[in-house]
Amino acid sequence: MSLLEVSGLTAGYGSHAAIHDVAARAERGEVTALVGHNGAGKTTLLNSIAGVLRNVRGSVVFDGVETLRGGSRRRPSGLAMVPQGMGVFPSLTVGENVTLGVTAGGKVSKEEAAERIKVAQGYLPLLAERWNERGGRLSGGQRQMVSIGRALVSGASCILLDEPSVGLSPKLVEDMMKVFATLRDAGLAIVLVEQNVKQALTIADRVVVMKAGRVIVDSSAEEFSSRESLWELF
Amino acid sequence: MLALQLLVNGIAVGALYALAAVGVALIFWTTRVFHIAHGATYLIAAYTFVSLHGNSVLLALVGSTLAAAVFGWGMNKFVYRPIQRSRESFFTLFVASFGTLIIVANVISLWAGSGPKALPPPFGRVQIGFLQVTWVAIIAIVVAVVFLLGLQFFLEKTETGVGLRAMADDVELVDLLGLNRRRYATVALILGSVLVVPAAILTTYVQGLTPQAGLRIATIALIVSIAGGVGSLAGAVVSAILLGVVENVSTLYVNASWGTAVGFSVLLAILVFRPSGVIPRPSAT
Repeated sequence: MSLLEVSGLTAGYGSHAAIHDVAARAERGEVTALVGHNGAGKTTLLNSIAGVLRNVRGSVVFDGVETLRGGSRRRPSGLAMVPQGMGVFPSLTVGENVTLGVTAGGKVSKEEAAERIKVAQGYLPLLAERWNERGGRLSGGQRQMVSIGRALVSGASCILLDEPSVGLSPKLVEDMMKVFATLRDAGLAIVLVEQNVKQALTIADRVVVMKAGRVIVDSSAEEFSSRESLWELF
Repeated sequence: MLALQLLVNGIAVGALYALAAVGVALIFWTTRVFHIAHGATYLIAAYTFVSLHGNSVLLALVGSTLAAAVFGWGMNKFVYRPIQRSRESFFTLFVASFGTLIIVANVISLWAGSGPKALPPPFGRVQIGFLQVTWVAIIAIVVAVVFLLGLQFFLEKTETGVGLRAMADDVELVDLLGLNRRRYATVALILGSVLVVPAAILTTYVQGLTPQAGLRIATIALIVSIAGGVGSLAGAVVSAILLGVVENVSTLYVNASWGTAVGFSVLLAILVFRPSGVIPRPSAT
């Protein structure tokens, strides 16, 4: 069974449905690239899975548990989100920003929290270097790393990343992709929303293409790369 | 010498204003509501204290604190949250808050009468050098310092405090991260409401109490928290002290009944020349 399995998902804002009857999945130790043009419904799908949206119908099964049961929209434990826009709290220090990730993941002992933070600092050395610096003083790339660190310390086994490369230099994006690959190799499931398909394919294991609120392609990255007709979608 | 005496009195009054204004700022962080119903919390705390005072001061203290906390919790659960759930505007929330203050003030008038209530002055005065300072003024300053330092410690050092500061920065991001926004709002309403309790009790000792006092303190808290810089706790404290000092020191030159008007004029002038307030929150979104 997949770690994350979505089926028949219809969701939107108010009475307007932005995604229709969507099915997708994410596996442990894999990067699933979710690609599509602006307005395709990628962020809506992520927000629906993460329990941010109210107006959601269908099924989201995470780690064997149906998360939409009983109209609940709570975030499944073990799932973390890195939202679009390099989201850090500007008046909080890097340390406080990251520690909020532990809070978001649910109650844990101080020792467990400290261990998670140590592991995250191992993946992202910047966290330790800038621990006492205010979020508002960081560059775009540094903010993105803090945002990823916050997701890591939540103890998540699946991380949803919403266009993390927007606004970053090619070198920073390359470095960030290496971090994602390392996390994938450590066994995490990563769902990566990207507009830059070439960029996504550098680390993706699976590719899901969305258009007008529907999934139109769901294939392995290898197959996607080899079919020229699919590239014409972009 | 008189000026120095008035300065000390002004700092004491300002310290009480600060407790009320910081509550408003804290509640604004998490709800984005200008919580004018803070005046109702003030009335509930003060009238509860006056009602129970005859039995035991300790009972009155505990009772008024509990009453304020329960009212703050109830405002969030039964007024703000349902309105926010239906995505109504800032103005709807403001009107609901204002309406609650009017209703509470009227209910109290019906129940306790609209005439003034007074408490016997408890401790008299103390001579410090050539200054005569009331014990109430000293208690006001000490209590305000203790409460504000306690709040600072809570916001800096506890997990919930950091969450409240995160709410002040970006409520949407708090939601996206799956943090418990509702819990933070509840904590802010309760904490902000409890902060107004010492202001309500000590002001009642000095000035007495009428149902109209709620609107007065709400107006002061609101204006002070805006002049301080919306959502800025430090700004709220500084502008509250400033208002208290100007109100008192200005009586050297004008009739005492003009004190508040002169104080507000100074805050208005600050807003005209520095619209972001005395100490704006630099990174609030």
